[in-house]
Amino acid sequence: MRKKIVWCCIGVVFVVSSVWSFLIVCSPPGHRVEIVQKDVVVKSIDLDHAKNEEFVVYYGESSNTIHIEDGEIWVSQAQCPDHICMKMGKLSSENLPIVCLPNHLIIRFAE
Amino acid sequence: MSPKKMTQLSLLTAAALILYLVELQFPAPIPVPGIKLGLANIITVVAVERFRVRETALLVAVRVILGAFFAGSVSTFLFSAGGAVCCLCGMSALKRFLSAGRTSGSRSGYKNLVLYSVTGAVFHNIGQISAAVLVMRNPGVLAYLPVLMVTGCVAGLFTGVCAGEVEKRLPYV
Repeated sequence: MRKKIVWCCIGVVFVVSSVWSFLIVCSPPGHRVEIVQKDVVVKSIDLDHAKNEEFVVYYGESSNTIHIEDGEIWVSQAQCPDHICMKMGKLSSENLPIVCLPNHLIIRFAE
Repeated sequence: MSPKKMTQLSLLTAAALILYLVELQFPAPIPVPGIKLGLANIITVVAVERFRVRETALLVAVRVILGAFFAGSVSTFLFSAGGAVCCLCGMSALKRFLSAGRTSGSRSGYKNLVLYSVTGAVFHNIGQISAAVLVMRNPGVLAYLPVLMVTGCVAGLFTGVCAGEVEKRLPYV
């Protein structure tokens, strides 16, 4: 009986998380992007009017190169060990930021 | 602690550390921060089943500290530690909850290990994300929690089945 309760709880967590994930991934992109390191907004950019550019955000001796082109933003180069921020590709969902955990960097759409 | 128990825990810690280091050599299957299979979790599940909470905590602590020493940084240590503490709390609470409904002396089955593993994986992700929020001083990473919960359930199922196989083959000395 107790096992069934636990299985049911896990099932509910799985279903709710799946639906929630789907809604997060499918949410549309915003317009204004914030680049945040720790709790400081390093840069705020309006993607609709941003010119194509590439700039570097430093974290100690490490860094992330951020690329903006045709109203889209992504991390083109990173000195972090896992490079997950690069593999995450372009910022496309309002609720799903690009995160570089080792360099404490978040690129997200501003509310 | 008896030398026999200490030796068993040391061997399991070494196995967990090897699994942890081997897993680091493979690239992340999905580009989401924090997603991994958690092969070291196999050993934690076996330890939760066989040892007391205190002893399992010792095993996990040594694995996390040595893991960070061999292959991590301060922040990865904090993420791992946050995940490990939550994972252990979740598994131990579940073991107590399940064993309360069982006759004393009987050993729990294969399915219990899968339950420990999935619960541990979900709690590990909660701890990991909480540590990330504290370290980065920003709640932005919380957005990944539901994604990590889904992958945690799947990875936990896999490591739970592996733990069941290990448990069957590892003799009680």
